[in-house]
Amino acid sequence: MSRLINAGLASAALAAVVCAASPADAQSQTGILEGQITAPDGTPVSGASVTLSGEAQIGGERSIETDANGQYRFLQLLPGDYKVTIKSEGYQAMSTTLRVGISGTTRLPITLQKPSAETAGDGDTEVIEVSAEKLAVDAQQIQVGTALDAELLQSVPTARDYLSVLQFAPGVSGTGNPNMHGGSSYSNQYLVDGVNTTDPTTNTFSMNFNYDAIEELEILTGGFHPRYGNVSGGVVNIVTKSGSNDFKLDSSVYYTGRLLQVDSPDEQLIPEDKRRNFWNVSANLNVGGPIIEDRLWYFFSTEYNYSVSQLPSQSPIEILDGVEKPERVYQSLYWLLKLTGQIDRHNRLQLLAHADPTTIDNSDQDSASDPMTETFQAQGGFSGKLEWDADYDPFLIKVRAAYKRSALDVFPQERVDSSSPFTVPGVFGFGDLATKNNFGIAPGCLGAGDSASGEQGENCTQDIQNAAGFGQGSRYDLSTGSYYGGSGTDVQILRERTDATAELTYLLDDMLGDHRIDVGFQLTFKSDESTSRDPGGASIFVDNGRLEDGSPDPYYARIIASDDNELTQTAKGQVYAAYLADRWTLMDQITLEPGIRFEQATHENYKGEAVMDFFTISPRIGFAVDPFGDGRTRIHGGYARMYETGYLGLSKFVGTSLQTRLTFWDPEQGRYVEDPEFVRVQGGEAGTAIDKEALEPLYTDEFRIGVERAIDEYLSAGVTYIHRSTQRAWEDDETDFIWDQAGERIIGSRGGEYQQTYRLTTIENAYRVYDALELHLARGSALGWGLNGSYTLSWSEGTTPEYLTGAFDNYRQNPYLYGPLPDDMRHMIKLQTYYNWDFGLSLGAVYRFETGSPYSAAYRDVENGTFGLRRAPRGRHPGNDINDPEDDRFPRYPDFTRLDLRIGWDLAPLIGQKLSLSVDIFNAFNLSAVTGVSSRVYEDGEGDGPDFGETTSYQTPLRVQLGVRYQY
Amino acid sequence: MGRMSRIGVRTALVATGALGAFGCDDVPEDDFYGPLIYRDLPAYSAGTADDESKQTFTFQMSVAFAEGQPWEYLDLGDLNPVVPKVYILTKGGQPIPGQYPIIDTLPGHADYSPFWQVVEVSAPGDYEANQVKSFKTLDNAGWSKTETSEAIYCPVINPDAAYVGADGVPIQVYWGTGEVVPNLFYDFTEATSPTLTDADATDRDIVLMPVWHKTLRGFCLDDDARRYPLEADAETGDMTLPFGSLNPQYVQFAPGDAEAMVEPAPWGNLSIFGTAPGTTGYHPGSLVQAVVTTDPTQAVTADTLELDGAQPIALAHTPLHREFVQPTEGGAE
Repeated sequence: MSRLINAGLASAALAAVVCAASPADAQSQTGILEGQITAPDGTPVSGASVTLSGEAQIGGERSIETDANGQYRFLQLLPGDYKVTIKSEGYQAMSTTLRVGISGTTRLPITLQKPSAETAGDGDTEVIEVSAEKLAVDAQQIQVGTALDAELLQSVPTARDYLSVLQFAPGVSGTGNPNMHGGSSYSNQYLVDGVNTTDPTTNTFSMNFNYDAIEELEILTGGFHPRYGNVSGGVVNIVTKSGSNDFKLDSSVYYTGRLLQVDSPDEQLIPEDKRRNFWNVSANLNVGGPIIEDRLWYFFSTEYNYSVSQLPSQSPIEILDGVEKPERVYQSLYWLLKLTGQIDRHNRLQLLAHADPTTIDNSDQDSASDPMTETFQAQGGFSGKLEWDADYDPFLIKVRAAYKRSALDVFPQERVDSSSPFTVPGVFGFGDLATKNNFGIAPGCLGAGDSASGEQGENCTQDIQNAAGFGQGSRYDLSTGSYYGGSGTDVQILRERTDATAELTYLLDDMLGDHRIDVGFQLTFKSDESTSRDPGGASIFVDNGRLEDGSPDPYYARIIASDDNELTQTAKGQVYAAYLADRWTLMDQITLEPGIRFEQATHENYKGEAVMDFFTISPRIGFAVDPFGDGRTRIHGGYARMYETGYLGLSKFVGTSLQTRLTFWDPEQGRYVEDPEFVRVQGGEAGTAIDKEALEPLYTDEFRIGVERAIDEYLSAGVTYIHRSTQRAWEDDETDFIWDQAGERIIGSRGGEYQQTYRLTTIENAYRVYDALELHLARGSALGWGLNGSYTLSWSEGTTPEYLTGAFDNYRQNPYLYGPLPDDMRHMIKLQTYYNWDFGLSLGAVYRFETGSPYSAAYRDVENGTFGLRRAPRGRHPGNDINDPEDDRFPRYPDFTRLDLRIGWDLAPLIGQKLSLSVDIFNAFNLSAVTGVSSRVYEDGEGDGPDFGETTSYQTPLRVQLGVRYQY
Repeated sequence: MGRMSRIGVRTALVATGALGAFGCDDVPEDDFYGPLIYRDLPAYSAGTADDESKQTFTFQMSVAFAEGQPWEYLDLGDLNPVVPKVYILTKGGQPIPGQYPIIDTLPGHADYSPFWQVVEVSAPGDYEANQVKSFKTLDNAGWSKTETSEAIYCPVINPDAAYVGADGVPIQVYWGTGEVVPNLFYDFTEATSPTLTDADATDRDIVLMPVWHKTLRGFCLDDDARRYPLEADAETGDMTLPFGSLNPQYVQFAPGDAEAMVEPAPWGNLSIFGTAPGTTGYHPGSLVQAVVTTDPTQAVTADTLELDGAQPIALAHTPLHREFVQPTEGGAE
């Protein structure tokens, strides 16, 4: 028998205190619930029965007895709501419901009460239900970050993908692959149900799945446990839903389109019938339930997207005269299947399979290209894992094998037979990527070792222009030299990642305090294989060439050919790591967590030679102090050394073999002919070098300190200071070319043959320093509302913003490219909040303010056909006199502000069915901040685009998304 | 604001102060901004641009006689006798080792002169070489300045130009740290290219001296820190080079051309300098004078010229580089 007593009585009679799960302590996708049962006089109650049940409790109801100290502990709990029932002879039986998250330990100490007069006689059998008093602070937490539960994720307006909500966390800026606490966008790690889905080549995210499948998402931005390696930005740890004993269905459809969006300022400048079209529909289905009650659950999630757009908003709207630009059509089918089986009391198995096949028609959307030159893109990945979790308290075992495969196939749109995410090859390992794009063999004069003599080069380009297929996929008119669009290249990429991990946790109590000792081993195998083929044996780019009089030459082109027109690049890598950490809690008030990580990482080039071969030792230590012993305050801090030990993208670049022939249009011949002074040879055996003695792993030292205080049972506030110093960024400097003093023209070749020679090395002066002071306010989801807010003041300086410097390809530009980062101080204000009313209405809001970032002036780079040259350091325009820094300008984007709103209406109170409607209003105030400006400085009236400082894009205007959702 | 200063601000803002790794320092510091771009400077500083590429520049040595010997010299153009200031940072009255001189004007500006009035600036004890790279920061620092009545010769000159001897053989340039020029432009303290040390260098090579101009690093010809006297202009107070201290350079004209002084003597006699390096009174600044001669024989000393009618025609700076050795048949020495 159970009955509810009012909250007032509960709080008076009981002291059930739950420490809210705050950011993360465990890689584990499970949580821990523990506590102590005491009598009213404070003495521990041993032998009390503690029963755990709930819809997330696979394996059925579990009961344990408290030990001699009145302690109890439940391990490896799937995230979700649980009911805890306590019975002890002579005391009032009671129960409470609480949420256990994936983040560390949830603590529920309970003080029992004698049966009241009302319940006397049957106090040991009648169970009174109480509300646990929650504390918003976990006073033993070491790591820094933010945990977002499903309720908040579903109640605030989002772009409905996990990447878009990462910026909810303080210290996180940028979209896509964000910068987390000063880390580069290539320095994050993305875990989905424990599977490391980080791309092995680029170290960026590489997995999409249905947003509604997320049970909990945590964003770690500091104080990483040593199980995390090769990461110095942030760790994104996502746990998806797992099913339950009850069948559940969650389906929804969302729609947005041009009719639901206000025109942006640039859009308003053109006739209405020529404005960009777009619409998007997303259909979602999530089902979960039992296959065998209490033993085997399933969860299946799928999302189908069909999205039509036309010319991204960043693009100038002007298109070629008389040309109808084809629409970009994005189709994706994400699905995820998860099986969770509780073998017995101690052992659990979990199987995960996932895929995200996607096709994109007309993906270029280049406003200056001919529709015939558009590109088709098929992409997607498959991942899976088998995981064994064992709970032999005080030992926990987690063993996981995971495999991930991702594929990308890009080729001319005109060669597409059909585009459908249901038929993307390569994703599941069945069949090969499209092989029909055999463009033939190159004319043969471009073999490795070919010298860059003018005569031979001229023959090469003549032959290439005779080859069958030349120009296919890249609208090319030899009669005029006119050229529109991309290269028409066929690119296929296949990347694989296999991980095997094992972790043993030993919970050692009462040994000079309590210890949680983690020992783990990780093996990772990575591979990358990419192939490119070009119509006619070469790709051709028309760029910013110059005529003799210095004016732009529209027919100036560079023809790039590989050795045999089927350039295959491969790279492999292996990582072996071991770690040890001890979370040591003294007197329940002081927690120390020393840890260390050992890692051997090898990344090989196409010949199997180790390009990067590092052994690193990463010490880490963190502390948390509860100064008042009331569990409401946490003073925390620590130090961590984090190494980045390489990615396939770095070992893969070594060994490529390409030759670039710069040509100009000769009307007399009706052909492109080479300028013998501008033959460039890139890659090949002679084109790469590794400075192994100098090559070192990049590392980041982190210091952090903070304090957090629970304001009430749900709300906490705190301040955190974090300092990160990143040293020894990698560098791929070019060593052959001799540049003029401004670094604008190549005036010689050290080897005499203009063979670009890239040397991979480490530059000691390549560093950056990031500091941030953060104030944060959080209210966990409860009583129908939640809140997460922060203010971050950050400083950045140094010489490189990324892990690979962009300098030294041209030494003379180093002071500008590799010089000091601009004195970059930024403010970020973030707020996410929602409120759900009992009668079904809900409101959610997401607010973000961010200081605009500096940008730099870029000048025409004749050598590379780009606008990459600078005449002043980062964040500056050199003004009128390049030799007078005092007339420089410091251009900066304007500040960015955005408010999104979500209005939801749950019709269940009216119709008895859980049917809900939603309206998301993005950029509710229809603000039009400038989000893109031209950094190009055109000289002498040479401009063929927006000049420096002119706006190229605005903030996405007010847009509405409609949704309908049915849950069962 | 320099790096240290920013850190100081940061530290002040962080109330906890727990991460006391950051120092707070009153010594200002300039960031290194970049190299001086000589391409945009006049030809006498940048060199003669290659007609085709416009990317390469050349200085061609000339030959003249001084004290009976042929010398190679650079013709670096006209000389402004009114000199700007150069700031030499000192500690304990001695120049700070490694600190580049700081200048605040460039060739092409009206106030530029290759001679610079030395202003000694007393830096604080914790100052480190090259923390300050601009006059603006130096002036704001408020450190004690002592203006001298001496000048150094430091013509701002393109380190990337091709220097070609009068014999047609390239001349190598290098600078005081031993780094070959062209050099790694970012880290001015460390040579990463093969170096040419003093031991390797010959007196044929040209030595450059780095200088700071508004946080830009430039180069001038190294004159071994020699000092030259200055005097104050009676009317303006400007410090100027006394004409009497300049090295006379005699250019020969045929009688008919002497008055017009348009073309030197048609038989191509070489100029004659009054003094040569190593001789007391040698000065890299020249008072160019026209002398009339009817003798096509090349004079090798000024004594043989008819100097009574010499007419000053220009001020120039034409530093004599080294004694010229006539190439033997088959090539240079």
